[in-house]
This record gives sequence, C-alpha cells and structure tokens, in this order.
Amino acid sequence: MEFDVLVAGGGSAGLAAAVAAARVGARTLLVERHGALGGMVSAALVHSICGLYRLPAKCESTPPALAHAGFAAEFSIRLLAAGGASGPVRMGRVDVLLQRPTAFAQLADQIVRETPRLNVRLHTELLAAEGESVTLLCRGQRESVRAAAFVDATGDAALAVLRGAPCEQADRARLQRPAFIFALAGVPAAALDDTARLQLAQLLARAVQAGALPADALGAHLRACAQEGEAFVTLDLDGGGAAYDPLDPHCLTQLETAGRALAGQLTDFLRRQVEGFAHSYVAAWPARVGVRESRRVMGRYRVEAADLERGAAFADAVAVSAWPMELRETARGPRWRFPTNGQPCDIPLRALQARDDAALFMAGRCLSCSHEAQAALRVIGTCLATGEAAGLAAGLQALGKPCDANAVNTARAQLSSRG
Amino acid sequence: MAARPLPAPALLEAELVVLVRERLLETPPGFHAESNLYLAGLDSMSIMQLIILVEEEYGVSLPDGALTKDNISTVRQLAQVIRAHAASA
Ligand SMILES: Cc1cc2nc3c(=O)[nH]c(=O)nc-3n(C[C@H](O)[C@H](O)[C@H](O)COP(=O)(O)OP(=O)(O)OC[C@H]3O[C@@H](n4cnc5c(N)ncnc54)[C@H](O)[C@@H]3O)c2cc1C
Repeated sequence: MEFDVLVAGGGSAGLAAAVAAARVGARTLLVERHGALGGMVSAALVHSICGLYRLPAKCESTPPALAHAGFAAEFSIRLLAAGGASGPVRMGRVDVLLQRPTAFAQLADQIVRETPRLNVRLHTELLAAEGESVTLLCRGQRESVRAAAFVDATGDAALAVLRGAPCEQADRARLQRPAFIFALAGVPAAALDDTARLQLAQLLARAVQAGALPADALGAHLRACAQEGEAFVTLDLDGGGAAYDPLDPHCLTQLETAGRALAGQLTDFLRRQVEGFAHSYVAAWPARVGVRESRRVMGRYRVEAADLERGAAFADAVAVSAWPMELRETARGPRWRFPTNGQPCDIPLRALQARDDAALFMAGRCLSCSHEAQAALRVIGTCLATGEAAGLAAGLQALGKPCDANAVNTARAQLSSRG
Repeated sequence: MAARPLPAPALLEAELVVLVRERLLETPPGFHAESNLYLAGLDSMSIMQLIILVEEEYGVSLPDGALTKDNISTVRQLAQVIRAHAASA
C-alpha cells in the first residue's frame, strides 16, 4: 500500500495530524494500536482538555477565549455541541474544558468518517520503519506500507526511534510522574462539591496518618465527571522514584497492578468510611496507566522553559502554547510555573521537524522541547494544535507543495474558512 | 511528632510561607502571607499534603471540619487556624 502521509499514533495529536494531512489533499494513513482513537484520553481516561484557552487576565472575571484557530477550536466546539464536554471551568488561574473520554472517541470516529483520503487502522502496531516504508503488525500479520512523509504522534517517539532519529529523555527521577485514573459511579453530586472534597482531603490525610490507607493514597484526586453521578479518581503514582521508566515493560506492568490495587483500597475506604460514597462502584478501569512524559524527538528547534516564560514569538510560528508549565515531578500534586507576562508562546515549525530527517515530523507530547517545556506543551489543547500543524506540513511536503510556516498557516486558514 | 511550641504569629506566618514555597507549591515571585493560595495552585491533593505537613511540623491536630475553603485561602488565615487549634489542644 502506498500513501502520501503516514501518522503513527491516534491520540489527540495523531488525530489532528491525520485529519489535517487528508484535508490538505494527502492520502493519509493513521495507525493506532488500541481499538479507539484518543490516546491518553480513551486509554488512560484523561477527562479534561487543558491549554485550549488563553490565560485569563489577572484577577479578572474575563470570559475564556480560545487560544487556537483551526482544529483545536473546531474539535472543542463540536465536543461541546455533542454534549461530550462541559465548561470551560476556571480552576485557580486557568480555564479547563471537562470532557467525557467516550464522547471524545466518538467525535474522533465521526470526523474520520467525514474526511476523504483518511484511512485508519486500529489494532495495528507500528513495528519497524526504514526510509519510505514502515512495517505494521495486526494480530500476527505483517503489512508493509510506503509513504512520502511521516508524523510521529506516538507520545513515546516510537516512530522516530525506529527510523533512527535522535531522541532525548529526562532523568528518570525527574520525569513527570505517571497516574492511574479510574471512573467511579454512584457518586451523588453533593459528595463532590468544594466543601465535601475538602472534607475528603482531611479524611484521607487522617487515614494515611493512621495507617488505614497507604501513603500513596496522598496522590489521589477526585473530580466530578461531565456525567452526573460519576467521578474520576486520579491516583498520581511515584513509579519507583529514580527507577521509574515509562518505556520498560516491567515498570509498566508494575504500575498497572499497583494502580489497580491502590484503586481497590481507596474505593473500599470510600464506600465504608465516607458519606455519600456507600453505593459507589468502579465503573471503568483505564486500558492503560497514564504516562505524561517519556521520549522527546530532537528537532531543528528545541522549545525551552525560557521561551514559555517570556511568551516567545518566532517567525516560523505554526501553533501556540497557552498553558503554564505544570510540573508533576512528584506524586504530590503539580507545581505551576506561569509565563511572566501571561502571554501565549509560539511553537515554531522547526520544533515539529526532526533535526536530520526531512521526512519526519512530530507532534503532541513527543515534540522537540525541554523537560520543563514539555510540562506545558503536553496538554491536549496544545497537542491538537501541534498535531494539526505537523499534519499540514507533512501533507504539503508529501504533495510537493511549499511547506514552510507561511504555507502551513495559510492552509489552516483556508481549511477553517471552508469548514 | 516533632512537636515544638508555636512560634509568635509573625514568625509562624514567615515559616508557613517558606513551608508552602519549599515543600508544597511553586509560588510566584513575591509570594507572601496574604497571597491567594488557590491562585498559587492549592487544590484538594495539596491540601492533604498541607494538613500532614502542618500537623507534623507544629504538633497540632486539625479536627475534621477545621478547614473550610475560605479559611485557608492565605497563609495568614492558615496561621490563624493553626493557632486556634494549638490553643484549644
Ligand atoms: C494522568 C494524566 C493526566 C493528564 N491530565 C490532563 C488534563 O487534565 N488535561 C490535558 O489537557 N492533558 C492532560 N494530560 C496530558 C495529555 O493527556 C497527554 O499529554 C496527551 O493526551 C498526549 O497526546 P498525544 O497524542 O501526544 O499522545 P498519546 O495520547 O499518548 O497518544 C499516542 C498514541 O499512539 C499510540 N501508539 C504509540 N506507539 C504506537 C505504535 N508503535 N503503534 C501504534 N500505535 C502506537 C498509542 O496507543 C496512543 O493512542 C494528562 C496526562 C496524564 C498521563
């Protein structure tokens, strides 16, 4: 089989990339190992979209304003219209869109159906890559596919590694910590209001002090779901401290089993000890533990913390980041670092282009940036935006058209106005 | 527990500012006793941390219901809550 663009990984970045490449005219193949699109959303139950809106002006009740044109805006507006999202809600100094992972995956399916030239292979693993060809594997069967341009949206930079493109990764002790998210049903709304959550925080702290719950329970965070009566519980995990390795099968196995065990203990505790939770039950386990950070591809430019802090502008900007650095180097909650001027930071096309591999683009959480910068750039709103930009650039390049930042931005504007 | 007598009010606030900055939140430059803790990132997860840190540090026990969303929105308020419960202990 032959395509213009191959996109590896069907998370938020890969979805955006594949749709953009196909819309700009490229015959596109999107490859995803799971049975649903959405990546961390559908597989790890990430249930809110961050990075969609500009940071609100200090201490003002300014209404949220979308930071992105194009696919990120389109996707969030359609998700809201389909009843799959609610908000945005203001949390401290940021605006967040709450969403249901099932609705996210359904909307992704619908957009794929509407998009000519876009082919999707679910249950398909990218196994090998060399030059213009990749090997795919589905249930023991190999398939060889050729393409002119490639987008790595695997989150783990799997395609880049297979193509031999250099990648980097933070010290294991500093990598953003993983988390196990599960859905709890049968939770009345009153059990999740501000007062009840504060009380719950006190009960959990008490239970940990008394030895009734393991210390890991201090990484728990409950949030009402966009669906009445349901809550999502996020358990931030330490992952073994300096031994944490999000690419190692033993470590991943350990995280899954430890996550389920802790989820079981916590659910028992809630049912027995906490008002309002007596009839709650686990409604859904994640298909996989959530990984926030692993490899990053080395690009022609590396976005740095200093760029985000000063809201840097670049001549070859193709997307923006409007989210603060949200460092989760421990399982004890985030540390936020905001841009000093509150302004969004440009993301240059060069950060989506592999350094020495002209056919390779990357987007989402494995784009070219530092560890600190990734703490901002990994959020879904930004993944949708970098995915779209990488898809447009790859599509234009594969079709032999001009594919500089200007061409990418023009294509986005044309597609949005047609839309 | 490393219980020790509560420092004087101004010192308690100063210590809490350092505790929040170094062990709890990435505080913005110029963070002080009257800065809003929620805007610095205080959420339900960090509140659990805060309870444990404070109880260990000052040997107070904050009974359930001692904290409300509005009585810990600054370090100054938090210091008042701690003093109230140290006094009643
Ligand atoms: C616990 C947790 C909580 C988070 N909370 C939020 C939040 O509240 N809001 C927010 O905006 N962001 C949040 N994030 C961050 C955000 O969810 C992710 O960074 C983002 O979804 C990454 O998108 P992506 O498309 O780059 O990668 P992913 O979503 O990881 O998608 C990559 C896809 O590639 C597929 N893949 C990988 N390798 C292969 C292969 N070899 N063959 C085939 N398929 C492959 C994977 O199956 C996956 O579907 C959170 C992340 C975690 C882990």
